[in-house]
Amino acid sequence: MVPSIFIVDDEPSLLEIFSAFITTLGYEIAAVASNGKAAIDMYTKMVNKPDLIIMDHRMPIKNGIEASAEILAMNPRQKIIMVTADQNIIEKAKIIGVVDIIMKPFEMADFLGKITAMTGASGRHDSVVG
Amino acid sequence: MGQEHDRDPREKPAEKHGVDIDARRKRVRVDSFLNLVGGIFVVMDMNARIMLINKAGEQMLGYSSGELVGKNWFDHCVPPAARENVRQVFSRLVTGQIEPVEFFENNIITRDGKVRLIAWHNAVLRDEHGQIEGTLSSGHDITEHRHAEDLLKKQARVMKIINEVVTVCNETASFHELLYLVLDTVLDLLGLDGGGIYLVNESTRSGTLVCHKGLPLDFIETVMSANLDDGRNQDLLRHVPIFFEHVLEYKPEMARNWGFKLMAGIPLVSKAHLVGVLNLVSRSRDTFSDEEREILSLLGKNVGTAIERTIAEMDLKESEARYKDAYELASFYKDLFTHDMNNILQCLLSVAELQEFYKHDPGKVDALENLAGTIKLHANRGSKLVSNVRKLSMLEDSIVPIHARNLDDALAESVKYLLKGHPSKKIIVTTTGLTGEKVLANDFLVDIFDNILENAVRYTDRDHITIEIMVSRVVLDAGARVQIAFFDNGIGIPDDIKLTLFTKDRKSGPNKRGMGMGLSLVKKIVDKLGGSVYVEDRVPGDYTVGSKFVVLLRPSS
Repeated sequence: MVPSIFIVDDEPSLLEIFSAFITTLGYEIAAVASNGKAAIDMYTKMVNKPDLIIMDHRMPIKNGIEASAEILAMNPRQKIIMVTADQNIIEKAKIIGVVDIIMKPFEMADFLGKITAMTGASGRHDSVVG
Repeated sequence: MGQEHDRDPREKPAEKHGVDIDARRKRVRVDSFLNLVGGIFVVMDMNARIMLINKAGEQMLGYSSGELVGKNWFDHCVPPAARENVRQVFSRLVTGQIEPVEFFENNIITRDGKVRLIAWHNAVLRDEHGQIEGTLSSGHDITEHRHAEDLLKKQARVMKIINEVVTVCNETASFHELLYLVLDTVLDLLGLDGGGIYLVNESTRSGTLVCHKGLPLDFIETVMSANLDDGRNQDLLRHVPIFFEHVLEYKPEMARNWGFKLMAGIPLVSKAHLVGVLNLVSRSRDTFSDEEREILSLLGKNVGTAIERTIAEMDLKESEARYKDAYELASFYKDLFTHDMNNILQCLLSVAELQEFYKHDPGKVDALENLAGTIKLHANRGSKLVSNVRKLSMLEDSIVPIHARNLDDALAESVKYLLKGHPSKKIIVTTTGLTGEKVLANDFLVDIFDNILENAVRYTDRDHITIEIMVSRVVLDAGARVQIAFFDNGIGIPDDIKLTLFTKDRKSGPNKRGMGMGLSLVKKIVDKLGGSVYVEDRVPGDYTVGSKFVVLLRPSS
């Protein structure tokens, strides 16, 4: 079964680029959202919860830490990778139960490596980053 | 009766009756006893003739032994000013009209004219038939004691007044509040009509009136600044108070023009420096008492210290605020680069990697073209970010001149820039309302619109972005304003974030809102132009369907 990924980022270009990589490499995009509140609303309505959430931190209306905390309260087994440029939130992210953190700017090989580690599926990205 | 006054009544009974040896002995013993008494002991007959006075009394009054016996007490030993009053009391006492006053104070006068205050214990003397035949009084000189008491009372009054003023100084938060409260308190406590406080620049030897009360306007205009080298003002430089008790003589124009009878200049001194001058005037009083002079002199030192301390505290607070501001600004820029610049770099890095991946795929030719557009977009964003930082810094540091700017041109330029920056997005911008408006602005006017329009495009989840710009005139309390309203169909802004969207921008940092620095710059520019900016829901009560950003600027005419 193809792992599904939910991407949350307020930067439209990054949503497009991450989605392009992830789909090209054989993963399924469960949904995309541009802020933390929209992410919570969408997650609540999802019948099939995604295998992984890629969550940006700094976003309008509700940030990534707040959104992740609410999602993990709903489903403590949900895997979330936090994407941020802010070193100061690393500890906070760990405390609320985020499984991994990747610091911006990062290379796709690192990004996809974390996705693979979390989902347990390699997709086809080895050929891209190899 | 007059001659009788000169005889010694102590001798009279013995000489007249010739035999009363026992009585004489007794009297000698009484005399010996009374002479041992430290205070005055005096016996008077019904006519206030001194029948008996002890040695200590004679010495206190400056007379030799026996010299006062037979003399009238009031004529010789009571100061003329008090004589009549005391005589009347004595007369009523010996005629039985009033009961003896057990304790009584009055002044006596010595032979050489010195006045002493005596506390008396009085009793009437009666004969064998119970008729009053004289008085018996013992007195203690309480002159020094009373002086000491008066001094203590005076010092207590002085300290009370100073304490009140110092309390005011200590409890006052703001500098001007301090000055006004000090002035109010001094005028109230001393019952004066008006005054003012000058702050002194010792190096220029000049003072500037910084607070005043109860002074006529035309007087204030003439004394707003003071030259301390003028006349008696030089005393102030030597920290000596000046008191003009005959204003007509020393400052005739002050007396004629404003009716001042009494004036004072009190140096406000701290750590041997003249920091200010407290000026006081009265139209009703002619003089200051010694006590008031002392109070004012002491006040000068206390108030001067309080003023200098408050100035130092103000400087410290200002300095702290500047450092805090600088720290917040540095944090803001750091935060900004951490977020916005890293996002731009992330986009560029990821696009480059995606391009590398797509170039081997013939089916991705169109996608490659789009990626080129994305690179341009983020390069422009980076450039805009750097430009905004530079502009924000300029606005923080300097005053940018304001002149009339054509609003249509600025809006057209911003819309053109927006569309050019987002070639792949479906954006419709319409402008309605007044045309040809000119506003008071500077070269940063376009940046206001650029940032509001950019936010409308960035923060939306719709495929079709619509922005309506409406220009109108409104009249506020502050006067006429040109209103530029931007209606977008973006994700909207919740009410709690609206409140701090502009005002706490720097403190909360871009992370709170996630809108970068654009709105900080907007707020900063609008403030500098004397305008205002706020945001509300495009559809009142429903923030989720878009926002309405309103910019109010001053028209140039």
